[in-house]
Amino acid sequence: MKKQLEEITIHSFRGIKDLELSGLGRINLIVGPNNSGKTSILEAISYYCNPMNPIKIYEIADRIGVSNYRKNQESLKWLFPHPDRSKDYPYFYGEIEITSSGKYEVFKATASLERRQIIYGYNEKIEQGVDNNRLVPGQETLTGSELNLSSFVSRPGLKSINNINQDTNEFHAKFVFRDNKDYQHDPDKGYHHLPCNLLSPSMTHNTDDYFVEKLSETIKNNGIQYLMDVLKILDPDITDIEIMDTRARVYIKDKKNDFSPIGIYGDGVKRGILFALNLSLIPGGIFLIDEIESSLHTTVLQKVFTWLVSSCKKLGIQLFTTTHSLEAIDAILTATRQSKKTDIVIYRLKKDKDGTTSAKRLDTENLSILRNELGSEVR
Amino acid sequence: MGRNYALFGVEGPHDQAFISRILRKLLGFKSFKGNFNGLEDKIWEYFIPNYDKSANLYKRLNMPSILYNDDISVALWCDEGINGLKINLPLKLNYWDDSYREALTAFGLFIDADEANPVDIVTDYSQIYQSLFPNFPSTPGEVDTNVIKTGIYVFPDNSNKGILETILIDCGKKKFPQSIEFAEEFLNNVNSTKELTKPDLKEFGKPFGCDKAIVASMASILKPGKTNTVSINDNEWVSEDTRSILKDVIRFIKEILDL
Repeated sequence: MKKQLEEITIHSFRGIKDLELSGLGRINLIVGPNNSGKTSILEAISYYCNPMNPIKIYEIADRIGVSNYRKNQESLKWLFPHPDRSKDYPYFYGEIEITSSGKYEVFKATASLERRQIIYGYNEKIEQGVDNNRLVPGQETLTGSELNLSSFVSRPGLKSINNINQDTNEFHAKFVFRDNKDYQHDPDKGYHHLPCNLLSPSMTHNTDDYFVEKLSETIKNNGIQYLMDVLKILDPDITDIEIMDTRARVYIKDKKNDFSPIGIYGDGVKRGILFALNLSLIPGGIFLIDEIESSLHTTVLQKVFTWLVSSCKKLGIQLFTTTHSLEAIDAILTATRQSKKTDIVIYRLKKDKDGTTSAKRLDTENLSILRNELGSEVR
Repeated sequence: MGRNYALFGVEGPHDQAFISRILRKLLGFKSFKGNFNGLEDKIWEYFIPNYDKSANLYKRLNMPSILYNDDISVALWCDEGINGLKINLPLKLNYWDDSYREALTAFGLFIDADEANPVDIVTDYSQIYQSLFPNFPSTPGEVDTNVIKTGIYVFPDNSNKGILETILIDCGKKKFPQSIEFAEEFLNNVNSTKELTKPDLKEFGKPFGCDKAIVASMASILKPGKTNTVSINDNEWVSEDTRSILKDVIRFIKEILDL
């Protein structure tokens, strides 16, 4: 069965240039030294799944966490490749470009970012609401960024999309962001996208509101069983999970205690909860997990990953994950081999001397030989 | 340390012990003793095995022998079985960081002819390894002297049928001639008894089974209770007295390592 992504090429995204990941599997492991671009690949895929949504791009950029002050602009520009700027136009930050093949209708997405010193006068239509104040020409110099997003679709007219010619297979949109102003995004216009979630290790520290929101959606989408299955692996005494009290918080019940707030549980339990909450909301989509082994004790790796691989298969999800752990690789490999017709591919990244990133690929069979028969290092 | 690096692939622990002993006793190399912190040549870390606990826990994993002098460090990678040097090692080399593989100054294979024509065997290996080392030769015993020297030695002598034990017996006949004679006599006597059944003699009856048994018989005297590998490693099969028997192998090693 064709996967959403059979092959993806990151032509430019942050520090990655012309990286081709061909022969993608249902389960994709990305390994390599520190700073080789593993997390950047997940971020690139996350962007590619929602190439016309500027809020998603900001969410990706915010993970970089440059600063809180002016974080929107500062974070955003570091997603772009920053080419050598010409003397004539120093404010262009370069272009992101990604292409792919597979079941996903989008086969190419681009984004460019330019800084603007004077944006628009009030007579000019602002593509996306910057704020509700009308701009008075000449009275103030405005600074901000213009984000241009494009996606190219292989099946034009697939959906009825507002304001888009159904015969076209190209979609373009421009978004303007003023410095130090919150961005207000119009409702989704129905551009082609893939359900996708990106999970980073730090998310175990997310607020209660985040867990409540995700759990509510999971319950609505009948995904609670996935959550209970993984919780029982992490702590067999856990019997239930609910949203309770007047402030709407997540509580977990176990055999020894009554309901206790999620905050008192360790990062391992929260990590398992995040796995389940995120994947149950993206059937048929892409699940991106950074440092999959994070917060998980070695004794639960095999069971958790067996559950994860099986759940991804049931929900038709394609998984991309980074790891530094050989134990995690072995556990995922074993889980994949136990799951019929599920393939795993590993890509080991390397930053070459000229700054480009290359990848060595192993399929299921060869990864098994190197690990099971030779005990070979594959990271 | 600024050494050059060479990687040899061999078919079994006997071959590993044999080449190791030649390097140590006849060519002056020292042996890495196994202390990770003492491994000066980090290029070989890729070959240090890491157990996969979900795999067969009784399966022995390959740890190469590492020998060195001031100028060159040699790793002897041993992989038994049909897939060993034809599938597993090429796969491992393909996945290796290109910069490390390109840092090799020599790559060689040591294999048995068994009952095949050495030229036919080498053709198979050449086709496999030329994707990694484009100048890998197709002639047994030949060393290609391009940027990375490559070659394949087919026991016993790149021309005839046989195995490593064929050379070892020749060495044994030089070093312990009477003992070898007694060993051969012993095996002839055992073979002629009616005590041992066909299943008992299955391995002995295979091509070169008798040669292996002669070496094992000697090893049981030289190193009682130990394996052939230990005997090959520790005893005088390879010594100054048998240097003349080993001249072809020594010539190949010296040429490929540029000694």
